[in-house]
Parts: sequence; structure tokens; C-alpha cells
Amino acid sequence: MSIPLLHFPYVVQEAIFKAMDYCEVFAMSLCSKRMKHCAIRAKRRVPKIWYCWEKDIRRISIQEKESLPEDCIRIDCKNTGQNLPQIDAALTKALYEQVKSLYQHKEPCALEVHMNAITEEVPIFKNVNMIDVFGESSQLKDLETFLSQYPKVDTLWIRPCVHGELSSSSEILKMGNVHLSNSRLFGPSLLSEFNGRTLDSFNSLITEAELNLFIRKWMKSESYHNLESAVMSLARECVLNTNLVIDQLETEAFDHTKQQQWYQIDHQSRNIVSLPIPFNEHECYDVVRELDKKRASILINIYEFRFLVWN
Amino acid sequence: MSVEPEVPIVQVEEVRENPVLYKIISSDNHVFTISEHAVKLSKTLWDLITNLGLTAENALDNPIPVENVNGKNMETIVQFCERHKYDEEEPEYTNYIREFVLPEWDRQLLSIDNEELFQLILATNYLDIQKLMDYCCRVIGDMAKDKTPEELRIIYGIPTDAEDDALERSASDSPGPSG
Repeated sequence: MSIPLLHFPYVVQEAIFKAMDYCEVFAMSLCSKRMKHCAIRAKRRVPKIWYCWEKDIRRISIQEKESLPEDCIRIDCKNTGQNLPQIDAALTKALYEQVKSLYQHKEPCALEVHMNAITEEVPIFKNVNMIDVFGESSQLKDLETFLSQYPKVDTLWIRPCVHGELSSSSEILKMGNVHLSNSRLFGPSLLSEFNGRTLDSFNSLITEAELNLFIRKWMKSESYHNLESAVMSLARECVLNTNLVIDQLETEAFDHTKQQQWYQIDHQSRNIVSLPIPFNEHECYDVVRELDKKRASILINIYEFRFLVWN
Repeated sequence: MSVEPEVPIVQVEEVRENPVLYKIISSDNHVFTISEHAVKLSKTLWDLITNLGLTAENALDNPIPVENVNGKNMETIVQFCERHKYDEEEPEYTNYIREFVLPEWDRQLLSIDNEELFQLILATNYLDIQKLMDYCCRVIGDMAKDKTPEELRIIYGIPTDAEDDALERSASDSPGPSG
């Protein structure tokens, strides 16, 4: 005998749906219109939906706070042998609508896109505020074309190394938060023009003169008015001379009695856990912005350069 | 007819330290004895006991009839409540029901056929036993793991849209109550 779920009182149906994983609720909603209505009525609310677009693979994941996203549905045409591009538009739209209605989702969602699919006709997902680009390498012009379709995006993650010259009208410069996993020379180039709040870049190739200029411009309010933090994790071959970075800058010793010694950056990523950053008097200096006396701490060592503006 | 349920070991300790016991009569007239700590897990029963003003002195002389629950389900419920009567309160967080680990003892207790499980859930809902409800729903939710919609339709007895439409049509076509 089957267990007649629809014959249970509503409160029991609701508890059963809450006991299921997201992918199971999704599968249940495909059984019938009535079952979909039951799943909607169960009011499972989700903080973040991720749409993932990769060549031959489509995924929709759901991310709870402080946990990794959980796949709600995954279609892998390499394994199923389906010819996805032929049914792409209809399938994508149907999946998108099903998930959106199932979880009554009204919050901004996130988009994860692979560089191997970025030049394909990716459907425009509405209400996206975060994009995560991954893949081997990325041409800036392709990235710019893609990003121009998403003017509301505030947080951008770029995993591959970016190749190309940054212009003053670049879409990336409109972002509030940018994270570069493989920065190389692009990170320093972006830092020099950055208008946003946070910039994290890993594997960067930057010079002492570039960092010195960056600090100087901030102190003189010539740029970086919105900046909250800038992090350059250095490539192995990049060795900085601290004295040259702070050369001729008016710095103060870091005072742990005035500043907190740990700072937590919220990366808002689907798969990166933010660890608290330690500040201490041995590797840190403070600088003060002339105009408003705002203070920032600089941490420099052989691995990284961190610049944190205190509120 | 009177059937005394198997007395769990924990109940012996209960009797020693807390002699308050209550009698419950199921819909098919089976009589069960349950300790005060255990019966408190059922909000319905405890409200009833409180409203009836049952005390340590008169509890056993005033059995509580529960007409919506048969003896078989009541036996499972009493076993469950006696087993969990000293449990600490479960943490309340959004995903608790799908993240807790179902203890082996309870998994065994709930390894019953679907018809029995269905009836047990209705009884649990009526008696308002939150913990048992969470455990039962988790067992039912786990049945959906790695299943296709077609398989789910069979497991949960879900009619297709066409069947639902046909049912709706026949309900609207049938004459209403006369007079």
C-alpha cells in the first residue's frame, strides 16, 4: 500500500515537506498540479537560489545561510545523452518558473556561469545580484558583454584569470564587491580604478609602487571614496619590500588598544568560508585620510597586502 | 477487553521515584498505563488531565478514554513516550526536521507497514506529540530519497492531473444531498 500523503491533514503534509531535501520537494512538485500546490502551501522559504549555467549542464541550487548550496535539480546532458541546446529555452524557463513558484522566492538570486558557456545564448535571469564566473581563463570583452545584461549585480566572483585591458567604462567597475581568484596582473589593474566597497584578489602580481600610489590616493581622497577593504594575496613570485610600499607615507603604528585585532569579511560566496583576519602591531600600519580623518589599517607580509578602512 | 502493555524498564524507575500513573483506554477498549512524565509529551492528553483535575490519588481510578486511537497505535505511542520522557527539549531551528539523526530504537519502532504508519501519524497528530510527529514525518520524507516523480506518485499515492480532473468532474456531476 502507498502512503496517501494527500489524505493527511495540512499540518502533517507541511511537516513531511519540511523533512525532505530540496531536490525531493522539487521532484514531488512535478508529480501533479495538486502536489505542487501542496508543496507551495508548505511554505519552505529559501534565502538564496543559484542558477548554474555550464556547457551541457544546468543546475539550480538552494543556499541556506552559512551552508553550502544544495542542488535542487541538475541536468547533465553529457551523462543523459539528451540534446539540451534544442530544448534549452523552454527547459530553462520551465525550471526557473517551477523553482521560483515553489519557494515563492522574491529575494535577489545568484548566477553561476562557466566561461565555456558565457558566449552562448544564456537566458536573462531576472533579479540577479550576484554572479560567480568560473572556468580556465576569461577574455575581458566576453565578460563585459555578459555583465552588461545584469546591471543590478553588486557582487562578482571571477575564478579564472582575466585577459584584456580594463577601460574606464568597464562593467566590472560598476560592482560593489569583486573577488578575483586568479588575479595575476588584472587585479592590480582593477585596484587602480576600483570604485566599489570590497576587492579581494588572489595570486596577484603587484608592485610596491602600485600599492604606494593606491594608499596615497586614498589618503588624499583622490579616489576610493566607497572603499571598505582591499586584499591582494600575492603570487609566489611577487615579493614585496614593505619599506617601499609605505615609502614617504605618513603612517602610524597599529594600536591594538584603539582598533580591534580581528576583522571578518563576509565573502557571500557559495563555497568560501570567511575566516577572521588578524591585525597586529608587527605587520600593521595605520594611515589617516586627510579630509575626514578616517583611519585605515594596512597589513603587509610576504603573502599578502590588506587594506581595511575602519568605520 | 484489557491488555496491559509491555512495561519498559524505565517505567520501573519512574514508579519508584514518581508514582503518578494514568490509565488510557483506546477506541477498541485496550487499557494502557502511562507515567506522568511520558504523558506530558502529548499536549492533548496532558491538557485533558489538567482540565479533568486528575491527581496522583485519583488518576488510576479515572481512565481517560481516547476514542480516536486504537490499541495498536496507542501501544506504540506509550512505548515512544516512555522511551523519550526524560529527553531534553530539541533545538528549534529551520532545518531540524531534516537534519537530525533518527535513533535506531525509533527507526525500529517505526518500521511498520504504510497503512499502520498512516494511522499512527493521524493518532500522533490528534494527540499532539511533536517529537513523534517529527520522527514519523522524517520516515515518510526519507521515502522520497533518490526517487523519480513517477516513483513518488506510487509511494505517496499521488493521482495524475488527469485523474484529479476526472475525480473533480465526477464530484461536480454527482447530485448533491436531497431535501
